[in-house]
Amino acid sequence: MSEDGQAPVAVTDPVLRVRDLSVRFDSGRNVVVHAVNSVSFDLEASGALGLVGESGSGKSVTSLAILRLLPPATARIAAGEVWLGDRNLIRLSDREMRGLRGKEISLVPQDPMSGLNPVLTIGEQVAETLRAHEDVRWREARHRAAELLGTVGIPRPGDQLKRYPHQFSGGMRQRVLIAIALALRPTLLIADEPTTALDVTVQAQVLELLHQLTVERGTAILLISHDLGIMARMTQRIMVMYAGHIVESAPTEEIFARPSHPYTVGLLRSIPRVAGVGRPLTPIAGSPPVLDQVPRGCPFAPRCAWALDVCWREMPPLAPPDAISFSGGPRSGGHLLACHNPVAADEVEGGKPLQPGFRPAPPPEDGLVTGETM
Amino acid sequence: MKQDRQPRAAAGRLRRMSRAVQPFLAESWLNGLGAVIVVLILLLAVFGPLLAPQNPDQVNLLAVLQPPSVNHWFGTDSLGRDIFSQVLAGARISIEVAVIILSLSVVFGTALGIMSGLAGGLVDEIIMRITDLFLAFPGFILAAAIAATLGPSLQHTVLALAVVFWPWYTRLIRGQVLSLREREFVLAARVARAGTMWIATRHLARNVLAILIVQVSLDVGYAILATSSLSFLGLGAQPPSPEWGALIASGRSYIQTAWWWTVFPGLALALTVLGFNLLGDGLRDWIDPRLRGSLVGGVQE
Amino acid sequence: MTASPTSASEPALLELRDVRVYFPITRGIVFRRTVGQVHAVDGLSLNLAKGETVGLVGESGSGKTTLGRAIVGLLPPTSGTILFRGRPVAGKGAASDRAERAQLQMVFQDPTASLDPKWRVGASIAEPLRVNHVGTTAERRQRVRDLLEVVGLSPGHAQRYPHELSGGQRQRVGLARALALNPAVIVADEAVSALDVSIRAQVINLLQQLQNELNLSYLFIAHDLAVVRHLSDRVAVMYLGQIVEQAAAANLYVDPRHPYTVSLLSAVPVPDPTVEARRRRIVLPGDPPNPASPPPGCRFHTRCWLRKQLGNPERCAEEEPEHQEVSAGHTAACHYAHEVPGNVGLSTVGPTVEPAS
Repeated sequence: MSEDGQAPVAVTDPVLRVRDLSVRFDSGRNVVVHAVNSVSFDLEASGALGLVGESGSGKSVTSLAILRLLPPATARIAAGEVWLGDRNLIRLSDREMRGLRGKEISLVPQDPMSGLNPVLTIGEQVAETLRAHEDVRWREARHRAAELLGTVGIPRPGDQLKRYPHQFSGGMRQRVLIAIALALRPTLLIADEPTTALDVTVQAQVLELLHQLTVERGTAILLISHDLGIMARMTQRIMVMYAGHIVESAPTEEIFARPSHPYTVGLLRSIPRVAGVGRPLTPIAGSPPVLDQVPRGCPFAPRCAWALDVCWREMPPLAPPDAISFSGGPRSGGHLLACHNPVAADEVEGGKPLQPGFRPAPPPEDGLVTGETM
Repeated sequence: MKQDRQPRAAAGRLRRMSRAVQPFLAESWLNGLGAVIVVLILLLAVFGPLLAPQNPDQVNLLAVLQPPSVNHWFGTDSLGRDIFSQVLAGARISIEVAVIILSLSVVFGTALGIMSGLAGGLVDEIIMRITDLFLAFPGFILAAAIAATLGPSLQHTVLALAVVFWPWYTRLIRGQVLSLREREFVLAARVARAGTMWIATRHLARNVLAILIVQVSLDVGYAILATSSLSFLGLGAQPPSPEWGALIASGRSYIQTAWWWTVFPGLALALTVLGFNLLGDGLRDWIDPRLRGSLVGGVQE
Repeated sequence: MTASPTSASEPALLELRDVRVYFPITRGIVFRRTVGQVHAVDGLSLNLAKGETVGLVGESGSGKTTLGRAIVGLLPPTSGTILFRGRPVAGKGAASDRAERAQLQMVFQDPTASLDPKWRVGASIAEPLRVNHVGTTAERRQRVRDLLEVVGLSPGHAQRYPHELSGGQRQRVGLARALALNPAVIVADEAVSALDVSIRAQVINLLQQLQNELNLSYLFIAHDLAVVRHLSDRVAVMYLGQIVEQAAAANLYVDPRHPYTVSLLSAVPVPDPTVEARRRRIVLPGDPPNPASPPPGCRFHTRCWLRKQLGNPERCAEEEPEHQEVSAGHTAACHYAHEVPGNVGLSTVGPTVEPAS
């Protein structure tokens, strides 16, 4: 996004710092689901960070944990810290969190219909957000609500204030949610699959809007999605998650140009391309991870074509890879990888290890986690 | 040998059933309490005649209006009959009555509900308007009116209550069918050229069973209570029937001198209704999250 | 992607002629009156040849799901005909011809909802056989085992319940069920949209493999342009109940001739940051219009960027465009289809950085 012609962001403290965040779910009868495992990352002010993963990756749970919106009966933050500026969000009370949500840190949820209250008009909902955090009178709140709706491209906003969510299309509702999320100019916006439920052309509109607004206002954005195409457009940096761990974290260009984790390589090779002609898809073997059993080693080992013996025994730490050279560039943070046997540059195209005679290591005899293979 | 396998198979089935029951009991102590009460009442109903110390109809003019004692745990009535035996016999009647009422109304109401939901259009309209008509009347008044018209007796009460209960099932099942009808597995059956009967019996019936069970368990208590109330008013079982409502009515005039005649049948009635209500509530709370869990899922990753 | 595109002389396996599906809009409870129609499918003609995959692309309100359901007999067409092997199976002239209809099967979008949760998976697969009285119990059991193997599951899965299987596995079961009666045509209605990305690839490969082995024809309905391109021989783009463009897959993506197709391609996110940074998007204004009251003339004219660029010609608002043959096998329903390539640099807007040769 430096092509936008903006001046490079001054190096300041990151607006969000997550350290060793772990989330557990108690799903009854002594079954504990390890949804998020020791996740750490930084998000720069005005930065755009993408969190990519499939079901079971823990990406949504991570965002809910940051916002402290996890269901209290079953979920708990087992460890870690989440620093928004100089405050640790984990330590704040519910009341203090309520004061922050919407004002400093906002959410655009996945499903536009469930994000809006069906019995209140759009105007009431936008104004409600304003009045919850600032001392404004109804008249002014309505006025500002109309302005906000205009900013997100809703035609004739003054008239639309009186209408109800079900009278709007999916794309319009999502715009309203974006308006509500940005109403108080938060420093951080979390967008969780903001366009999954929308048509392709509407998706393009909404992403354009999101991009434009966050860049204009300097809002940092944490974008969560399974769609790598959206990430290519919207983010400066991408983190790939698998089974609650971050397995690869790098500037966006590098994730696509030089993916190094076998899972990342697998994902990129299993996506059909609109432009690609006749290239066969190479699916990732096996099935998504089972989260109620803790593997001793890397959770991707059962599906990994590059697996070594050590991969079954020891979880690799997230660290810069040694044997690969990267251009550091003006952006912060280089390429981080959690892998014992990363994919070499010439192996990316083929999607398999090139070492002659190499076979992925089988699971050790003393038993481990096994998800059933697809 | 086949005989050897049977007890082992039965033991296996019992173990599987108890494993299925355990989470339900673990959910709340009230569920356990409800289950215990219901099982107790059912046992008493089934084995009542064997457990009763005396024949409930046995008149003994030497032991009239005796207070509770070792010989007569619940005392005796104005003709010297043992009230404990009568209460036991009444349990049997109450359960029988509830079973008949609910069988009639569930079968009729469900069939009508499935028909209405599947057929749609004019058939649906007609059935729903008839259902609405029945539902418009306060249930108890309607039952009383029917029972009074037909003549006071237990059989007529049962019929009257079946008439009151069926529309609830029709509505409930129709709602379920409407939502299931568009589910992809029903569409898949239609693509396979399955007919309406096939879909109704093989797919819909099994998928509404859970809701039905919950509703029935909640209604048993009401059915028993309604029967007893009608008997109390003189429209149902007539004395000397040991039906609880009739007992309470008979004992009413003696309430100051022989309180045990009214109180014990009353307690039995209250306990039974409580037990079934607890069980029904527990079942509903237990089944609901499971339903929600299987079709919608919790936090999406 | 297998057989070469249909030649004009070969009869099509499945033929749709001017199919319309309208849904009445009713008011009132006691006395229902029809106050309007939703034109879900509005005059659609399409052919599918043996062994071919035709991709049907559209957004919500395009009518693609309605069309799929009409083809497999879940909805009756309001008018028009659907012919299978030359004989009408729906619409005008169709007798209720069971044998023929069994040849048209469907795979549904939601793998969870497409299986009865109270039935074992084997029973679900066997259902089409039982309903149509095919084979004895033993033969059916064997067939279920064979079908499970064909879709990449083990025969032991027949005893499982749907909630014991993963999403991808359930979708394979749905596919096995669709194959039970040896159909000639399978309509896949968003068959991979609800699956995880990595599982999607497995099922896509399976679909291709089965097509090769069993000489199946697919009508692949989806909104994901990339998946459609990967699987299809020909692609048809739907907008508000009509086909606006039809071409061989390669041609459509490289040389689109309908402005709607161009905007669709421009909107697709491409997993390549260099391409994404360079692209200029065509953003369509507003929402798709209401299928209950489609715009007069060309349905797309209210949102059409080409019309704006050409100075708002009246023809678009007055006259419904005919399908113009742009090149062999490539038609577009636009008055100005020939103006499209000149008015948009596909290399800056479309998903390719340079046009493929």
